[in-house]
Amino acid sequence: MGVITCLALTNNGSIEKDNISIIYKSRKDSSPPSSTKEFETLSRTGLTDTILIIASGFAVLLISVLLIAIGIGYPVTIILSIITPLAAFGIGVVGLRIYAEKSEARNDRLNVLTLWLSMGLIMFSLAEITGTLAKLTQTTQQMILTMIMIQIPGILLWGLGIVQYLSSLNAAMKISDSGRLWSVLIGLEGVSSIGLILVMAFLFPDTYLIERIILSPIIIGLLLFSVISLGLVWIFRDGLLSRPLLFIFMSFSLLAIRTILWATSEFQVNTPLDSLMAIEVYVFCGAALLLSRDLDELYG
Amino acid sequence: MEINSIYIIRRDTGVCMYHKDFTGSAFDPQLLSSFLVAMTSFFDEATRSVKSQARAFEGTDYTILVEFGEWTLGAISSKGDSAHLRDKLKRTINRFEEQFSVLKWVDLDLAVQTRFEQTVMNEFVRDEIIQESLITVKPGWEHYTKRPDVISFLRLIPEICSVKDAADFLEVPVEIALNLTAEALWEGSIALINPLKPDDIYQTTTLTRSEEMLKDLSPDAIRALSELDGETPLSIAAERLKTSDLKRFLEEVAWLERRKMIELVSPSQAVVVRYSSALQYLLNRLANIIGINATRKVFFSARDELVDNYSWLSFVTLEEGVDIEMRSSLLSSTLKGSISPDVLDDGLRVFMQFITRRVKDLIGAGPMNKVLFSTKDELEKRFPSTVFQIEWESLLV
Repeated sequence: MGVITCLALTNNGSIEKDNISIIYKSRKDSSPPSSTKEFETLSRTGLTDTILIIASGFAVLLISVLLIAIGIGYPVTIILSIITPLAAFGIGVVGLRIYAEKSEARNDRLNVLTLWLSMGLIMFSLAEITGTLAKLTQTTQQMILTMIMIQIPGILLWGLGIVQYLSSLNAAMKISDSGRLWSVLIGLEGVSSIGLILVMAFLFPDTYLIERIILSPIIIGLLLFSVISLGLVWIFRDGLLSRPLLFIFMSFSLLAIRTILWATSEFQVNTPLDSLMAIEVYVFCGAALLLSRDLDELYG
Repeated sequence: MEINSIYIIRRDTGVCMYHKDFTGSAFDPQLLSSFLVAMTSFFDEATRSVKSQARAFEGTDYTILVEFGEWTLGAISSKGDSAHLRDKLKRTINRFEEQFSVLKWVDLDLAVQTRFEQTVMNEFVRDEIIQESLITVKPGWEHYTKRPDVISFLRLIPEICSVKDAADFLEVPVEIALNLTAEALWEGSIALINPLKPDDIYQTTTLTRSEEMLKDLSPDAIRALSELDGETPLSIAAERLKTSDLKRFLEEVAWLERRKMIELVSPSQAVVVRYSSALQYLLNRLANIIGINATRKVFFSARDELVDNYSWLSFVTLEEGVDIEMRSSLLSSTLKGSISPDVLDDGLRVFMQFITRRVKDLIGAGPMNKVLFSTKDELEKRFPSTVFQIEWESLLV
């Protein structure tokens, strides 16, 4: 308010330079009018959907805990094994509907990130269904391996999305050489994975070698992606972009915890707790997708 | 020199109160002033206009630009009409009317000719001198100048040197050397050549070329003709032509300019080209971070907010993605110089400020400023000496 009205027009329709500096002084002194307005807009449009999806996630969590507490464990397990792939699939489809139709945005890294998150969710839904089916015939270790093998494309899509976004940010800010960034990440992943295979062999001698070889790079990858997304949240901590990135971080870290638990404890696939963790992973990812969409609509 | 001569004339009597000729012609200023007042009065009568209508009188190779003050009339003889020159003339008239306001009412000898020369010198001479300008001391310069500081300056410096070399030679700040050069040029005791800079923008004036025109040109010069499109700085044109020797390329361009096959673009166009490159680099980076759609929306919302005050901004738009497009209406105005570079500079600077402040809401102040710094660094490669004409500090959030 008051920004345009205090401009002094010269004969040819331009604004006097001195007046402009006054305007910006006043904009700096007080809270920027545009910011307040845009934040309000975002609160009205975006947060409604996001709050709804997060609330659904927490509702599932609370109801499940309550039902398990009163001793109705088995039906909960069955219901959750149905809800988990459905949640991943549903949120993935919503994400694809939002982001896949923008054919002009092929070079848009933020759009690519969200599109790949959506596609990853579809892959995760297949992995969850496979896990449920495998539970009928396989042992826990076989189930984990089967699920993780099907999850790999989804994890790769998520990981490549966040790493490419980091690379794109690096190109925009000229933080470091792009080639160097990729080589550091690949090097870190490789060295840490080998290290983890050795550590697991020492700490968990009961695990099979093939299990260690498959799980270690995935755990390291998920931890790396969590660190990258946390770093992005830190970089954009003063801006609205940090909100979807925070949910992406939460999604990555919860998925990493789930995978670490599979690898290191007696934690079983398709138990109520495992399913609940998976649902929360997908819910956080869905919240990130919806918040990213709202960034696009902020100035629309 | 940008102008050949300047006249400030009293409107009611037609008496020339101040004049300065930079070409050394002995033309009687009173004759011209009477003619201008008579002609402007004639047009006012003929069009029954309360406000004076006459704006310019054109000859074959010169144009006389006319601007009106409250009680004076200013005229400049130059190669062509431009908003940039008109702004300067308007400022000069306003200063004259302020400084010698008493002359509106009474006719007094206020030594206008000497007392007003510093203003004209600052407006029309000092502006044209840069550190790299090449000074050539004229033979017999002692006969032209009477100022003691100019005499000692010219006595000590080499016959041909740049302003910066002269400052180094005399061990004085460059600013002082620039002022002394302006005074020496004012008195006609030196000749001044501004060397071509890598970020100068030239355009070809001869689009159809006969064999006769091209026969003396080197292959590099012929190739250069197709690259000088009024949008590309010389450094980038040299890069495109894979010229390893930039100095030689600049010499070729200077030679083409002397043959009038190319010309420097108007100051307005230079501002537009510089800002559109800056905007393009900025938008590309922002699109990498917040996405193409959000960047487009930020661009259009900032433009819509400013368009009431800078109507010409509606001709700055985006093609597919975040590719900047300057519509032909704006480009033709800049080519003709009918929109002043100051107006463009103001509008585009505020536009970039509006964009950066909006994006700050999305990504925060730190990353936004980092993006601005990297944009400036990239632009500096293209416009090494004029990149700082954009007020980057004012864009920081």
